[in-house]
Amino acid sequence: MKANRLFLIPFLFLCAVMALPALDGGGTIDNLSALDIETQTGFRQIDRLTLWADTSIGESFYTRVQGSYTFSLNKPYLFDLERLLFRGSFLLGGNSRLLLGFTAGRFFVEDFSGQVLSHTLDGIRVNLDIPLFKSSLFFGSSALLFNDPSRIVMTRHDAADKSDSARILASPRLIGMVNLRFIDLFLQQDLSVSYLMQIDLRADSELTDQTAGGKLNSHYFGVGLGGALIPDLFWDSFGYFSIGSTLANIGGSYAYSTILSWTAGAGIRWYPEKKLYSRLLFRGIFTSGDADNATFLEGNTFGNSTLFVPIAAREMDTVFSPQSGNLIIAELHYALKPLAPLGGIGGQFQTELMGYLFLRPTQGGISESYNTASQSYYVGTEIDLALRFRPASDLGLSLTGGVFIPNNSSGGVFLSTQKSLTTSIKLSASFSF
Amino acid sequence: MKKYMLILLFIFVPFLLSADPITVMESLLTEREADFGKAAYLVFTAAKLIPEDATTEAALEMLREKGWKRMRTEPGPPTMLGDFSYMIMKSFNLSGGIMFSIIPGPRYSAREMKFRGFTSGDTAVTRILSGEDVVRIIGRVLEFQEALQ
Repeated sequence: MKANRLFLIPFLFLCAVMALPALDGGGTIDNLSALDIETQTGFRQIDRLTLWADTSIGESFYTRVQGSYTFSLNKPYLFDLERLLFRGSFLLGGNSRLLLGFTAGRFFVEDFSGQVLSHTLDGIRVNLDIPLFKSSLFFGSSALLFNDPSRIVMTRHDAADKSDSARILASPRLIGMVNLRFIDLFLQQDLSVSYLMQIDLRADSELTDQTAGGKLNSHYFGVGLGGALIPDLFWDSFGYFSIGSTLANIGGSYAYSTILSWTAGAGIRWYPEKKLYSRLLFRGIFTSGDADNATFLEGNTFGNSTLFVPIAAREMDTVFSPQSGNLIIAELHYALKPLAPLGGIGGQFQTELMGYLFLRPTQGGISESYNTASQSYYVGTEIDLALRFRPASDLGLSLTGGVFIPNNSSGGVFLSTQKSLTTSIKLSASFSF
Repeated sequence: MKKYMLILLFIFVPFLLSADPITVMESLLTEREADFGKAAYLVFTAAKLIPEDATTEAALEMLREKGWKRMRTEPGPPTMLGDFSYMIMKSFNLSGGIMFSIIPGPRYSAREMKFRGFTSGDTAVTRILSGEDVVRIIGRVLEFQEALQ
């Protein structure tokens, strides 16, 4: 499709939406240009056009459709259907204190921590809310998602599929989730309880060669607590225990072993807004590892597998972005609006300084290539600086620079040939219409 | 809600003797679907575009005289978010985003209002506002104007 015809699409879409007052719609144009410097310098350019339309049907029903086209230097044509949902909500009971709702179709699903599941899925969700209590039940699948945008990588077959450009659909899994949230249970604290499960639906015909991997089924039981401590100071915490089964190579023969793993985290957020709209965040996340893993995925060689494998954890926008599992991450962020006293557009400029410390709880592998002989637990450190500016409500600009300093000293987690000092500079723009 | 009521009462205290703004506001607060004429009256009074003793019909007449393109001018319920947002943006001379500058109207006014924190939730132009919604939104706009001064 020629470039000039592509630019007509958002214009024509906007005309159609504006001609139909019952329909609301719009879109976003995003651009990311990045320079990544390690041993070599690489340039990335990603442009995305997203279009969405939604409409209400009566007082209780709502539909939304959203799709995107992404251009990158590696892949000039990538289309995705991001949302296709039908939602209903009903106020029941005296004084409308009970809200019953459902969402069906393709939509975003996330557990309360974002560390187990944070991904678009196809399915149905039913929610029941009363004052001070919210509950939801989700059941769905990843089988019809496109492979390229999917971030579900739990087995070696999943990792191989991500590298296979001929593969159209994502790793097929059946996923269920139950969430309960008790609001202001005591002293302004919210309690969350969650259960998730995922079942690997990969066909047995793809699993004849066990050296290439097998299936992974898992269950997750989680609890979280968080809320306000004092005005402007908030905290949150979570913990998940996971059980399941994964392919293991024990004593030279392949068999399925039990997963017994866990993850936990806590964080504090402070918002002293009178100090130039400052925001301070300190957070730590732990994901268990397995010291006897021969490979990161499905690498257990002894006993139970203690590596925590999430379904698809929330993405980190960092230079060094390993998968969850056998990691301890401590992060400190400080953001402020230094030009806020000038008023007007000055209040739309923000800077943020971010520091990350990466450790591993066991000497087992992480998702990146690593030094198998290393006994060190220190993985590396990253420092990022972001400058963000929003000159108009529908235009956002940001410039982010980051440097990752790996532990590639003698005996370090990385060999110098595997990971060296990595710098990334990203310029992004986003325009909504 | 109480905070916005206090702000609106503070603004309208000098006009208590005529009581029109208060009467209109009290009437609006009981409406599940806000009357557009009353909403227009409250907006124009708060923006000091019409005198305090004007009527809702005068407010709508003022709206017609303004000649804002794509602006509704008929009285009666319901008041929709798009029309109401557009009226607020124009009456208080609020600047919008790039799309509002190119195509000023209900659609991009509704989005601008959410961006500024005056509204929350759905930004569909056809979203129906209750009287309480109208009073709350005007209160937030007045609070913003007060902070600017």
